[in-house]
Amino acid sequence: MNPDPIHEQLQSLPDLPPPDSLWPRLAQRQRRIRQRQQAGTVLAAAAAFAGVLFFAIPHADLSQQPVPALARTTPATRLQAVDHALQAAYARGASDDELAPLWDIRQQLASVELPSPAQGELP
Amino acid sequence: MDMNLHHPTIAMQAEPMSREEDEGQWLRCARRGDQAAFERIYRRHSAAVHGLAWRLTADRALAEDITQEAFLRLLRRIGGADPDRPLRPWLNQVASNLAIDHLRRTLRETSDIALPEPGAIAPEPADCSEASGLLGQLAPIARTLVWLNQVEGWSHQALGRKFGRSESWSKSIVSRALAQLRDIAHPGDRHES
Repeated sequence: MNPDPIHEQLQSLPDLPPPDSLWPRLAQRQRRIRQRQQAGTVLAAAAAFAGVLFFAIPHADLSQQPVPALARTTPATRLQAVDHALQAAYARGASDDELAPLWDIRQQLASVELPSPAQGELP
Repeated sequence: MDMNLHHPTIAMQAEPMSREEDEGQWLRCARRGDQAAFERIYRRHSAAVHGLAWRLTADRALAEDITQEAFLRLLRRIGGADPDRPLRPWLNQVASNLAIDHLRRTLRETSDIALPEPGAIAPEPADCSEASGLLGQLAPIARTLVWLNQVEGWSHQALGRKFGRSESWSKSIVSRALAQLRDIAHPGDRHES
């Protein structure tokens, strides 16, 4: 115990409520953070889906085998989808950690030999 | 007769939860995006956090900013917060660190060991108590060290480290500041300590 009266005086000072205007500002920021987190979740799901599509389709045999309806996409359209996801991520100021997996997927997609326009669409 | 009163689940819910229990529950709900739960956390702790920020900075706008930032940091890290541990110490630590960071930035620009100009410190928003008025007589660095040491319980070693100085630096400032406060509070009543 410190018998110093100054110490006791300081200890006895009451809490000070912040101005009423603070909570509405904080609530607004909370909504924005929540929206950003939700957008991040959607983006991560989209990236995971793009990754599944990429690895699930045997690229070399695309022209010979019928593909399921879900996977009936060309490398070009998949690349386009990942580009859109990247654009959206940059637009909302995503972190490097969020962008890196998308760039990895894009690089893998881009490394696949894309059919030229003359070859037409998949059967 | 209301049958619900005898329902075991309802009866259990009707029992008042302890402070820690309901805070843990609010934290779990706030993690899932429940704004009302986060507001309850804010209502419980904001006066203490704001009071601390005010005493450390004596700046109304800055104290408000620090309070807001402390709760925003809680929001951003809410997923990793342990619902079984009280939030107050964590919030106080964040607010103290923010105030110290601001003070260190200010100190780099100006040397403010001297007393502030009379009237430079804004009065407290609500009741301007005698002790708080005394605190306002101290230079910013002395006020912050005195409050953190005497009220928040920070050691001189921790204070010295936080400011990139020695333990004796903190001891010396706090000791001089307390003597100064005694002189102001009880003029003519000299303490020999």
